[in-house]
Amino acid sequence: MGKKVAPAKYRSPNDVDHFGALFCIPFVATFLVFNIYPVLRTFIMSFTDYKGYGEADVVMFDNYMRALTDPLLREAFVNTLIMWGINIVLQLGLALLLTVLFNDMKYRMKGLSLFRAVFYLPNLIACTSVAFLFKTLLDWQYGSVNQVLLKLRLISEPINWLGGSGTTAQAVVGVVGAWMWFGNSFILLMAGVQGISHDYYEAATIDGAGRWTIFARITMPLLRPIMMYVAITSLIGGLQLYHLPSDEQKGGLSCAYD
Amino acid sequence: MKRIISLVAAGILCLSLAACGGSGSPAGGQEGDDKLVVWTLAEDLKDFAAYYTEKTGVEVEVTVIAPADYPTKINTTLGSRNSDVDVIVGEPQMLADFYDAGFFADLSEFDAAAKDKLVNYVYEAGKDEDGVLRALSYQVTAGSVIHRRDLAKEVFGTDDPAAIGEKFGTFDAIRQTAAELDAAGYSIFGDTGALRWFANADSPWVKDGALQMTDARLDYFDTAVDLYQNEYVAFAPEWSPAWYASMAGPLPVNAGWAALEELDANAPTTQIFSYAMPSWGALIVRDNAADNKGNFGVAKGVCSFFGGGTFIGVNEFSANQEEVKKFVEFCTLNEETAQWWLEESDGDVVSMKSVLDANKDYENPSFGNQKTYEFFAGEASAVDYSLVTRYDTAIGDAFGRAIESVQKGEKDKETALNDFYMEVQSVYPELTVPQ
Amino acid sequence: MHTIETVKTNLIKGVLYLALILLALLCLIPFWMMLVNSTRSGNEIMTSFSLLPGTSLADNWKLVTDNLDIFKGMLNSLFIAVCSTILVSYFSALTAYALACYNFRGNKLLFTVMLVFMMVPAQLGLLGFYDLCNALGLVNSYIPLIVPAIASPGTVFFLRQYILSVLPKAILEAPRIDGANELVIFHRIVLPIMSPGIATMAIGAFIGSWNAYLVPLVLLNKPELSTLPMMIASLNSVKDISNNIGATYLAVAMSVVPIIVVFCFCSRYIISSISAGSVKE
Repeated sequence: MGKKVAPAKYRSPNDVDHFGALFCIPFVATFLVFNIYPVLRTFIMSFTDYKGYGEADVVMFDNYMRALTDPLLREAFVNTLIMWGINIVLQLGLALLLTVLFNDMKYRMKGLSLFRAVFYLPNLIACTSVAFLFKTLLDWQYGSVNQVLLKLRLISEPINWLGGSGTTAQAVVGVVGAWMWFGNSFILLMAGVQGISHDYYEAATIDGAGRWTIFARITMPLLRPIMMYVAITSLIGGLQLYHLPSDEQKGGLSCAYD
Repeated sequence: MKRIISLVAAGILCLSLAACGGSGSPAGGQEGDDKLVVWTLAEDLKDFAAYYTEKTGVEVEVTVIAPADYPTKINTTLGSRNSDVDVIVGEPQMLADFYDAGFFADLSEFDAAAKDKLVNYVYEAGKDEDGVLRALSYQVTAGSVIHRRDLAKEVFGTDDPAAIGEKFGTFDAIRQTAAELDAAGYSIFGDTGALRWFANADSPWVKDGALQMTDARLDYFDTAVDLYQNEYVAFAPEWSPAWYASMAGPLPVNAGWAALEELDANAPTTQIFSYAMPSWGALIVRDNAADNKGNFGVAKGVCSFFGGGTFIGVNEFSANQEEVKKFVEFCTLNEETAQWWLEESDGDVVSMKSVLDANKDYENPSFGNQKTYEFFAGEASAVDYSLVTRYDTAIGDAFGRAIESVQKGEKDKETALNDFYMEVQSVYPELTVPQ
Repeated sequence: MHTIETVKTNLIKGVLYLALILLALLCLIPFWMMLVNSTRSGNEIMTSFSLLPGTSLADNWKLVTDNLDIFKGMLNSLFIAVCSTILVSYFSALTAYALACYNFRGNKLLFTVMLVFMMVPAQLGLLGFYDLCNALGLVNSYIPLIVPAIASPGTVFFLRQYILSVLPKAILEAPRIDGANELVIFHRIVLPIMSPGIATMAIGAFIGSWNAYLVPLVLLNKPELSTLPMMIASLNSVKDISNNIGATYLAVAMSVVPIIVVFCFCSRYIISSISAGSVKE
């Protein structure tokens, strides 16, 4: 058995290639009209001083200059990056860990469907409800998290989760984001894993490969395209995270994400 | 199986197009002159609409949109000159932008009546930059210092609102009052944010395009820092569960938390003496007071202020402006409606001077039988609208952050002020700031 | 030695299960809180915390039904979500298949453009989008909420990667030799293989459409067309928020039920256990 077991790149016979283009037409047409046009229009408007209504005069690069030199924007950007960083490391790490766990042939964990459903629950609640829920739970005087921690004598003073100078708050937002989305990543990775044909595993085991070798040499490479997807979409989603921080902070860190 | 799905997909697509075609265009005779469409951000107008239909038989359809999203909705739809809606509203801070965009129609024909009948600041807020009347409100949201009478008697020996008013009359007085209360084991406010209403005591934030940093403002800054660092406040931010709970009784303070389990009655807890809020805040206190009901009173603060309030206007692009104007007139300039609303809302302060006058002797049991309407009427007429600018919200927020950074010892006052000026400059490049 | 191995394995398994259960609890508790809060009054929620249900369910229900036509809202949302999900699933699968398995000019270009546009947040295109819909006379209609689902870059991206992971190229050769139509190959062979991936994406698409707030808010002016999130948000007007919080939680809880149904439905398409030995052919 060769080292690399991932399937080779696709080569379709040339005479059917045009079908590929044909299949893409509905997508491209809709995309142009409903995605590209609006964004272009907004882009063009960014060269004017359009305030959301009324007339628009062209002021060219003024808006961009303002944005680039605005110290608050830079601060907001850094804050966003930090929150995203914490989110993605936790989220992907956890999801990968779980995937490995449930895919493991030695331990054969049961209850996959049940756990998967439960882990997906956080994702089902709309973002704003989550934010409000956590704001209440983490309220530093009355919130239950502090009350429980106090009762357990783990801390002697309530922790100001959401207020304060920021690092704790950013970590909190990152963790909440991870909590919301790790179930999703988990499902995606599992879907990928289950698409891998058993033949590969059987062949490898017959050849005497150990569990870790199988994981590293078969599962991981085959999962790579999906992992890339999860990483990129999490990155994009993280950069765009709007509701979560703003609803949770309501003032304290309002420059963290305008 | 997948073929079936694709067939079903195609089928549903056709169906949806057909259905949308149907629901997209106005359904039969529902549109037209006999139905008014109202978009609002609070539930009040639903009651007004029902009352209007009762009185005139005209059908009114009300849609409530969350305040945070209201400007987005209005800007996007009216920005494209949509005529689906007839009556639009705005809170005072939204009005200036709406006027500029030309969304509110001209209501000059009501100018004389409004000037005559309504509390002055409401009339002023309803006018745009050129003095053209464009919106009216049925309520005033005059502010006050809502305080605990029982605690006042205990600490100051009196619960006369006038006397309390003096104790909150200047920033120096506030500092002194805070110290007195602290000595007795009470906190003057939930947090220093309560002082923000007094930031505009003597001058507007912006005058002739320049940011005004007056001594009074610096005084306010110092007072806020003072109260925080001396722990005269309870550190329960407005709208937090602790803050709500404080209206009903004692609440824990951050100092001495470890003794919480022992439920020691005095040492680790405090009571909040007062809340500075607009008139609707008084209703909130009343609703959350539980056993403390009747123990509150209202008094003047450093200056008369107002906060929020729903202003109604006519959509410039509406098809049937005459009918709509009648509705707006009915809600805001009609004595009978004003009296009805006063009773219906169980405590809202209306904007009509004559009705306020007629009710001034009403002794409000939730506030120890104080004549609240008389009080609010007085406060409302004392509000100077010329102190309000369209920049207030953003500048106020930035100033609050500056104060907070000094309170927590993150910056010194000079740095905080300079950062504040920088922030204002970046948000409003057209203004000049002090150096 | 065999026994010690087994004991050790079981011990580790025990610990692992414990960890999993803790994690599951972490996910469940806020959810449970949402359900509990739907039975408490706004006042109670603001001032205290409880893991046990309260007694205000009837009151909250009354608030919800008085203020909202919630079942209509659910129906509207359902209609939009189902239509969009079907469109997303089918056309994204089609496009992903084309990108992954065919070599045509513009393949790379299309993919790259798609990736780039994925990064643009929805709020950015909102104004332009509304303008477009207004010009086309599509305001107050469901069309702009459903048809754009045909072009869903995120889903296409995932499914393309999925196909690359999962579809053995040999599978396509046989039917071609037999002279089968490309479209038929797609429907008969490729789609079934892709179904776990599609089902996974379908869940996300449904939830996205179900919870969508901004675009319907701006686009739909008639109350009878409102979607569920719009209705829930209208419970949060300023003065009433502390009063309505319990009702809001109730409405949110109600809105989650259909999602759970869809989730269970789609999960069946996602093959459940690897030890079941389901071999893909």
